[in-house]
Amino acid sequence: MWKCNKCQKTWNYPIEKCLFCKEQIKHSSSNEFIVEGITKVFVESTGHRKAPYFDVLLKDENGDFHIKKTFKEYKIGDKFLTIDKTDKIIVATSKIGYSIISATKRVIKLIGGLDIKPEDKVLIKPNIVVAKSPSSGIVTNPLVVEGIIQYLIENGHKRDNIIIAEGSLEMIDHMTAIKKSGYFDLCNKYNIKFIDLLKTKFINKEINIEGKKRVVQVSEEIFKADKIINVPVIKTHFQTGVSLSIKNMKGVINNPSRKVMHKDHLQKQIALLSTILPEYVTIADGSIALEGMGPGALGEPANLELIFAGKDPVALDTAICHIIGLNVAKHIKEASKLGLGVSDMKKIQIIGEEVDVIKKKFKAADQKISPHPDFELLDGKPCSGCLNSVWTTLHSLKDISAEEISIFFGSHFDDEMLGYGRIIAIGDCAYQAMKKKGHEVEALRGCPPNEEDQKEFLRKWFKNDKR
Amino acid sequence: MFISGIGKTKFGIINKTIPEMAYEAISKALDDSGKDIKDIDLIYVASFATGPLQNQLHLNSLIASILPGIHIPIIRIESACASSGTAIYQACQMIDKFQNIMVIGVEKMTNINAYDSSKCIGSAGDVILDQKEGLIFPASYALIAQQHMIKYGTTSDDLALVAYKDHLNANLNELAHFSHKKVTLEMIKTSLMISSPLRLFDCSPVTDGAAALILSKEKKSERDIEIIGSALATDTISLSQRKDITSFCATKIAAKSAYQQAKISPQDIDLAEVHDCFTIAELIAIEDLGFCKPGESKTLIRNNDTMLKGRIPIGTSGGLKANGHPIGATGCSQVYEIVTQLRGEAGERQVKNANIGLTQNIGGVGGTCAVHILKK
Repeated sequence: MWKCNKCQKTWNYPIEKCLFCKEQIKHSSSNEFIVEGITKVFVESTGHRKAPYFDVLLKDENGDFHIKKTFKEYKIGDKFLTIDKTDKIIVATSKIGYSIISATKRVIKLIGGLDIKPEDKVLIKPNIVVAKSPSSGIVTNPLVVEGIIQYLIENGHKRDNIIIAEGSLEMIDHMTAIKKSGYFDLCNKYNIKFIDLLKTKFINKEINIEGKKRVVQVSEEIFKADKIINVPVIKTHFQTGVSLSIKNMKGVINNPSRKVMHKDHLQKQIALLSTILPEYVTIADGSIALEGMGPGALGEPANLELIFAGKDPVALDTAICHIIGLNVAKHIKEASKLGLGVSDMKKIQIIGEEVDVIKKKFKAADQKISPHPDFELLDGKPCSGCLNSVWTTLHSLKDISAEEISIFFGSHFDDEMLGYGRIIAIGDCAYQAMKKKGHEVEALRGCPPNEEDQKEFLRKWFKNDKR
Repeated sequence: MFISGIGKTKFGIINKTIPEMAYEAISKALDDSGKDIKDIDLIYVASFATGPLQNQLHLNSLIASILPGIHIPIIRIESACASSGTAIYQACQMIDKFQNIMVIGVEKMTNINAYDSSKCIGSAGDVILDQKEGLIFPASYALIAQQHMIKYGTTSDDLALVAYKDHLNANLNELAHFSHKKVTLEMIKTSLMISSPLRLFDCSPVTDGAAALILSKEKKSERDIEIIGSALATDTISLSQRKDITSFCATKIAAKSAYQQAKISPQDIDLAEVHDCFTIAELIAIEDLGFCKPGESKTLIRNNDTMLKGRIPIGTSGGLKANGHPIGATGCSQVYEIVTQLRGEAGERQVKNANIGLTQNIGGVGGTCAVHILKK
């Protein structure tokens, strides 16, 4: 609620200045209400297919009314609490209502703050993997980060001690990405520094995968910060099931390490990565999430309209999977086994909103779906670069009829793949893997090759007729 | 200013398109007034749901298409269920500049599944504060009814009496949605619960229909009815933005202004068509319009004061509850009924000695209210 302290007028919208007396507006929120009225709604309607449900008329301590949907039966005079006392691991969530910034501040307060001292150096790590606007559901909405920045400033932090840092995909122009996603303007507005993690120094760290040591190169900026605030956008992911807080931290390693990670045991390595990183708190952006064939442009934006916060990334990721109706991904379970957090919903308490009211079933990412009916993909465990670009290219060509052909990508070529008829290769890794096995095939080089080059390369197999 | 012509289609599930229904209402209004279409200088067309439900917007041009070659200004007005009440108000504001203004209300709603229809109607509420919290309109009015019951002792039986009276009146109105449906108090009280305490018979139906009025600067016939008060007021869109939900501030303000213009008091009103989209809305309207004190509407209902032969007949057409509620056409339909009554042409449902009538047309849960007072 936004209120003018002078004339006492109130708004449900983020208003800066009172139109009547020109005073600055103050925002306040309540978590305790008294039930003034209740109706049991028996009819289904769009967006409310599960009936019956209840609508309660609530009054806050200022005498303002609020309407809330619930599946719990209250009586008039009851207290309506959005926070239950619990000794479980807390994951906080808030509907965004009319303000993503306010919802972000609310979830931070619900988890008891960020445990940061005013003099601490804070690194905020959003997901700006590609050059897209937040409406795509692919990158973190800068308004969530703005909410965090405002919270920090309001709690005495100096802007000089706050940085935003991200490493986009290798083929993405960094400046284009931060301009298109809105972070360039955000940094200018608050005079906050943005760091391209791919241009920083990297520190060698070791993880142990299946008894073998493997070096992972992590940006040293991560270790310079006193506190890391991880700000993923909630996405489905056709290789890892979901991309949430644990997966988002993969963005702090360099590209060679990312490619190695994709070659084998991807989900386990994502979990192991968290063992060599400092602890972080997560604010997850579900304002516009991504469902279906995420994490890139083949996914579909989903208006989840929620912000989440948690200090246990495993619990947070588990709770989000629960809300969006998807299985808890392997890397989240692996992280739990490694002692990085709790993935048992019985030990997790979601506060801030009623779970049954906010649940929204997401379409899962299904890697088995072919992006093009005539081109068969031979999975050589490619990294995200080739995976995203080849899938996106083939999907864009799905209406063009072509000769049946198999496309190999990635670096793990198996001779059994020769049984799939005519094979071509896309990407440097694919070319080298086949050459190493003595197979010379038509190949398009690049790491990854751009989409226009891929279309040109594939043109010779197009048939004239449209599907 | 005067109402010189009225026209209305049958309300209900009508197997006609938007242009067909609009044409029928226009044609009947012109015939009723004795005027030619070329006498009309300006048209307001009111609708709410034709965009989301029929994918038909640009209604002013659609109306121009059924009046080929006239090229006069036609303006579409939307303010939820108060669309045509608002259009009539706007016509009253403009009548000094034109000789004859036509107001048309039209809506096509019944060939749509319940989910889409509910979503569309819900768009008259706040998208974040109401719609996403499942506060469909029956739920809004259910919370209002509950508060009225707690505050004033109104009962579900009182609401049933409102519905019963409306259906009796509709049985006398050939053009009403439920003109032939025989309804008993038992049926009303045992009907399906929609949103407690409101049952199916507490809710107005989804209706197709159109109504048209011709407003003229000068009186040309004894059948012309004078508009002596025209007022429009607004309020916040969501119940959660109000301090009191047992009364609609917009109705009180619009009514006060209309009474002042007419130089009359509520006691001078002989009959009224009020916006009874739900039965509780009729009780609140009766109080807000000053026909009784707050909380006393139940007494009027229990004493049959709002029946055809009562002290202040309400909803003689059957009201929105039984005459039907084709959203954008409702305000025009209310004026159609009052004009018919004041002319003494209401047949079996004629109110005796009807000289002054009032219409109250609400948008949403009192976010908009148009009040018009008409005199014989």
